[in-house]
Amino acid sequence: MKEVVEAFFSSRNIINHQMASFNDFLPTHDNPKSRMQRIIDSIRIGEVDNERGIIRLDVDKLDEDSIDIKLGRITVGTPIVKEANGATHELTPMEARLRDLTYSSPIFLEFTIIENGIDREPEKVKIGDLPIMIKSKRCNLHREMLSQDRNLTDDQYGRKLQDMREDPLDPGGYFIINGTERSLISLEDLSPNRVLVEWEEKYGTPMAVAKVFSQREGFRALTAVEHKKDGMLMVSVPAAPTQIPLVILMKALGMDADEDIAKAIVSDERMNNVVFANLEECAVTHNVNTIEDALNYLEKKFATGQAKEFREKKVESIIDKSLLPHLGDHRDQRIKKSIYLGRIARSVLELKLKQRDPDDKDHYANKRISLAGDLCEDLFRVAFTSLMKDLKYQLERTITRKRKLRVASSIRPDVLSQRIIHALATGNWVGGRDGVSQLLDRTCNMSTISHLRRITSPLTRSQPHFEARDLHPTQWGRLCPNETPEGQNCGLVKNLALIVDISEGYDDRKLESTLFDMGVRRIEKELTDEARVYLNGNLIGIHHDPEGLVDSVRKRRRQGFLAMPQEKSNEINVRYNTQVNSVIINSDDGRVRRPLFVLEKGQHKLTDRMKQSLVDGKITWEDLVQQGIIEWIDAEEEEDLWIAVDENGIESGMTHMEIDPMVILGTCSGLVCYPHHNSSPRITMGSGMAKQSLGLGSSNFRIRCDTRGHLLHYPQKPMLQTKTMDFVNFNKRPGGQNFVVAVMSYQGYNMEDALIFNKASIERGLGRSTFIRTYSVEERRYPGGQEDRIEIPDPEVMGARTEEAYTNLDEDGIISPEFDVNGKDVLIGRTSPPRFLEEHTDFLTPRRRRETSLTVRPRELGYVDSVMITESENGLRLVKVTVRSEKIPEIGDKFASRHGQKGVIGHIANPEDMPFNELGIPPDLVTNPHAIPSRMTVAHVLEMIGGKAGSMNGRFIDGTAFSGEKEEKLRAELHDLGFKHTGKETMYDPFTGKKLRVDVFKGVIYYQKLHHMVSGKMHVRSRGPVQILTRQPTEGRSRQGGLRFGEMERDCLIAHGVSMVIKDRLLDESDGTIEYVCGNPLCGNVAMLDKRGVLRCPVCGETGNIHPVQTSYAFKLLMDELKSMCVAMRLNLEDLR
Amino acid sequence: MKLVVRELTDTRCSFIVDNVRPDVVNTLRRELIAHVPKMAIDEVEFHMGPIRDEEGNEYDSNSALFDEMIAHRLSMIPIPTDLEQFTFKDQCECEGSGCPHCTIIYVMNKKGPCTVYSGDLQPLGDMNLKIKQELIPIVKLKEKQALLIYATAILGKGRSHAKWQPVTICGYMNYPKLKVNNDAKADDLEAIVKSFPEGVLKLDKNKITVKDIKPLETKDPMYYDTPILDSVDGSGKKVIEIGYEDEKFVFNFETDGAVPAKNALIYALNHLSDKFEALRDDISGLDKA
Repeated sequence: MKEVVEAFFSSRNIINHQMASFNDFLPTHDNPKSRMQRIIDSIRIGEVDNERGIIRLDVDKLDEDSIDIKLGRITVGTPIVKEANGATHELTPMEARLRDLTYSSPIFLEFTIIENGIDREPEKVKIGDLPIMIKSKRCNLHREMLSQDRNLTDDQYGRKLQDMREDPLDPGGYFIINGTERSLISLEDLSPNRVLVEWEEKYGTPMAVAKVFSQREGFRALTAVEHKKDGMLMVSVPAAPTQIPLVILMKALGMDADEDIAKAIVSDERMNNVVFANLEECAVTHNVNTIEDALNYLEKKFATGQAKEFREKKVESIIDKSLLPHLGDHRDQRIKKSIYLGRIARSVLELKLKQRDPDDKDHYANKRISLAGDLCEDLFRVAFTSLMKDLKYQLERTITRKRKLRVASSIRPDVLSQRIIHALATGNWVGGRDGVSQLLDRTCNMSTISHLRRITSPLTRSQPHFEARDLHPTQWGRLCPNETPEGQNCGLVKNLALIVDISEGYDDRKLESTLFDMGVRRIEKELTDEARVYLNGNLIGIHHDPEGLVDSVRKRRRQGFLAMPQEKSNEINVRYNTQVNSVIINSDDGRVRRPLFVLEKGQHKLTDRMKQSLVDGKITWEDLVQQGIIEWIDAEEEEDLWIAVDENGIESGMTHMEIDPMVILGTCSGLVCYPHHNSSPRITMGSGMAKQSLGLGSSNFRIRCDTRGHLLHYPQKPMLQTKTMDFVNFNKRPGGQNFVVAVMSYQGYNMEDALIFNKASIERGLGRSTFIRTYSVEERRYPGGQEDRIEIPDPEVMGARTEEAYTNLDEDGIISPEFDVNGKDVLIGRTSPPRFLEEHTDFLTPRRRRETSLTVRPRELGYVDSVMITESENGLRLVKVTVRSEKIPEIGDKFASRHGQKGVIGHIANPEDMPFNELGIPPDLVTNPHAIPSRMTVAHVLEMIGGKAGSMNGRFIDGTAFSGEKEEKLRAELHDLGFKHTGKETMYDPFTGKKLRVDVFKGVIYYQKLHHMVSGKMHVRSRGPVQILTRQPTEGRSRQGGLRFGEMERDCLIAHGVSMVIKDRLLDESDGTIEYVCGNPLCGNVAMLDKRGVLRCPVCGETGNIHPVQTSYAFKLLMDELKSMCVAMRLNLEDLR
Repeated sequence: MKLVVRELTDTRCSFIVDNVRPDVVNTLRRELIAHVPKMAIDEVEFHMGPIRDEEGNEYDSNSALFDEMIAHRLSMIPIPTDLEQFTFKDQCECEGSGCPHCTIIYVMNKKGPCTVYSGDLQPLGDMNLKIKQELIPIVKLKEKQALLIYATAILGKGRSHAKWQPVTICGYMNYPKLKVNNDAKADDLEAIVKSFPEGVLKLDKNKITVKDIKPLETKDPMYYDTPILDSVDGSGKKVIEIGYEDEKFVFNFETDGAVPAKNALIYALNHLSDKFEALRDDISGLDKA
């Protein structure tokens, strides 16, 4: 139902999930319990017993004074920049981008010093800078920031954004770090704090294993319980060297009675013998009976042969900190852990007894997504903790000097800021993850949006992980089935489906008490027939009527409340799992949920009147959710449901209905028209290529200075539209053009997917684009007061070019706009101070400065587009020069339709050489018919028919997945227009003038220009630079490198017996050198040409018997390196025979 | 060879040629596309730096589009070209230095906010050279933006660039002919008659006759070749068989308005005969050698 989909997007941005998550992280007025505040409140510095949110100074050096620092409210300001001269002003994202600044806000925290129990005046101190997500609540571009008027229309808001030099359609959701835009990639991970049981194959025998990824406050630890072949239950604890028997661990945790242990595990009589065997083994073999015995056993296992004191500490740290940290890290929580371990063991035994199936790791109910807010939370916690530790240390130092204690003077905000900015700038996150923050893909609008909706899996790409890569049924409607990269990362990197919501979580303690009110009872004895009730993976109790409980929870959720009527939340999902007779209730964060219509008596509750009000904007999507017409379903709850695809498919007993089948696709595959007519891999390829297409990436392209940017000159809306396009603004930021395409062979120039273009079409502007590259230079300062100078270098300067090289520069050493520049032309003249370790001939003449001008990249050319001179954060002069070049399609440029049909230009034909019809209309493009049948891209053919009908009738055609206009309709339309319904036309041979014997299929289809263009790849080298170390040619196009003549190529020449060619390639054209070698048979070292021009051996002093030897420099280098290891290689020369 | 003109306007021409081989018509088509010259803007000089108006307001010589894009857009504007008046620059008596016989210089001076149209190009000298299609948008200027341009148009041929191609589309079809098989059985003769344009076929006493084939000149009759033309008795025959004359063509072409269709055709025909003449001369030269 497209009205509902439209209503969703009228209130939410396409990257809403990122924004909502970050807003939840930020402390704002409407978010008093922000994640940042929660981190502050729960921080604990030092000992385990210390109170949270308070820093207690170690004051043993003073007398009896006790000093506590209480941490109060945290606030985050709006982004500002602090100039080098100390002035501050409000920062706009565009200024940050242009001046290489970080778009960040100051963080303030309230500190209260409590001296001997007496509170001092609270002190609000800046503790660091926080990079701000663009368009988030603290961003200067946020709606409410730009105007007090809350009812700003979209148009007015857009105007305001334009005044701030922004593209009004920019989605936001990224950060600006040192001038570069970075997006935080959402992470998919196994859900924490859940017991997952599975069979694990060890030495050919399957073994039941239960695993828990226990997580608390960013600390993760895996605990596993295995049921071994011999019947023993063994636990592996992180940080512990070996596995330990479960019973001993439970005992060590304070459960000393065997009866209690048995009770904690057993739920079925058949388990008794296993448990009894374990208990006996523990008592008899290991001789462990009491808590002390157990602890001693652990001490022996974990820290053998160390001092008693140390052993105790080690065991304590393992069982309190590393074992199941989500249950707490205090001594008091040990018994809780023991009970929990018992339940893990029970799950293992249940699996063993086939009472339950193993858990599916790839089931989306077992996955959680970490969004930008979660990632920032982890980062901030670590950074803030280290800041507070630093503060504590600094304050303790100050006390000893008996000065008045002030937080402001002791805190070092850089500790926090640098840590956060460094992580965001490099992507190296806390916890050792890398690639978390990535450079935002700005190739086109679609690539940006898709990048912000991407989800990566932590699984390594080198291993197969077949199951993890497969499309899982529970991904339906949550993740796009088609949009994933090909190759290495296939199936591991995913993208969100069109309409999803990532849960933000709801307090489970509140929920727990509500559930107890609803008839859930605490467990008194373990053996019972009543259904177990799990809340977020924890067994909280039992209930006699599970179905009734589930129903009433659902009912209350649909009424918009669950815990307390005043606190509205629909974050709860519930399921009754009959197999294990348990009610599973989830309210945690990171679950991917999708919306569904609720069916009641085979009918959804959206009336036609409501539909109309939706269209009129009288009611919103949120209203539908509040009224229980639509509800958000997670993968767990969906297992309980029976969902109709559409109204026609409703059968009795069905519980829900899809919003619209098209929303299962993501943003990029949603652009493909008629995807249901294509073979699946082609949609995947099509959605991959949409991200490489050139178009109108952003409307502020003349202001932005991206290091590389592309712009298509005449972007067009596709004739075949899809619904998705409205939500990703594809029609306002398009990425392609509608081509008239004929499918036929043409002199073989379109073999193997090559394309034939009409020269006249190209000359009229088809497929034209501009490539923009920005060069930037900073006037750096060096130690010793020396600095770079942007100027026209003096001829005296070392390495100065000829005078002509600088003629394009102005007096200030910087080029002007609209200059025509070619490869290696100087854009900015610059000199740098001499290098520190440079040889100097004498001490009298001052050392010469070096030439370090900035030049256009070799083999690139264009016009200087803009020149910007500004000041960077450190007050250094920063110059940015943008060079643009027009890219007219040429042979070798890559184009693709939306159906994964890609090809490179093989021939550009003159207009008179193009086949034509009776009116003389030639195609823009001729593709090969062989591209179609084996790839089964039927939608490609359909699009050509639809595009033809649409362009003749002057209307856009709807090609939305599953619901687009029907093929028959398009054919009928073509027929009415006087065409053949097949789309075929009579064409004439342009050379002989005769009618072609077959009719040619011709239509209009959307083609994208991809950013792989020959001009950026073409590479030749005859002579060129060599590496300093090895004197071999450099590698890579950007360094004008050579192409490696490798081993296999060498083998080939050996086989041919062309020794001189081998010598030519490997020596003369590579690193061949002449070395002088001492001919003294007792010496044989490398000789040298000394200052007086005499050949002399520096080792034996020989001067007469020295001979030139041709060898590769790599060999000489090897000799030198061996020498450094005290291996002196001698060369014994002999005459050639 | 007989040539009958069906339709002739400034931008459009359609005629019927009879008694001619397809390669000859094709030669004419290729000649029209590639070798009929036209004036088009070839060089654009942009004023750089600030532009002042009479009141002393200062404008920036800048716009939303890149200079090369504006130049390309200007080059696409059809310039009225009298083929008698202009010669190619390299063949001109001015020896390529540029004179009123081979070049036109246009000036454009616009200050924002406004939309710049093709009509804003002012020729230096002869006002007859003003652009006829005045409302081709070039670029929008915002406040403080201005455009001061000198554009030079010269004569060229479509062979070297599409901007010099006055004949935008050009094609032909073999002249259609219809054969009626009145012995073939058909379901609905009425429908068959109706599936062709009015006046082509006539139904009289269950017999179809071809009345007038002229209406089929506008469109290839293959588009009327529908399944209802198939005989129902399974003989594989068609009630109406569509065929084509081998040496008779309907020829269509359109121009962009720079050169009238008639002039383009005359130029192409003359040029063709010149070429053949030259070829004949060359061949006769071969004989002597």
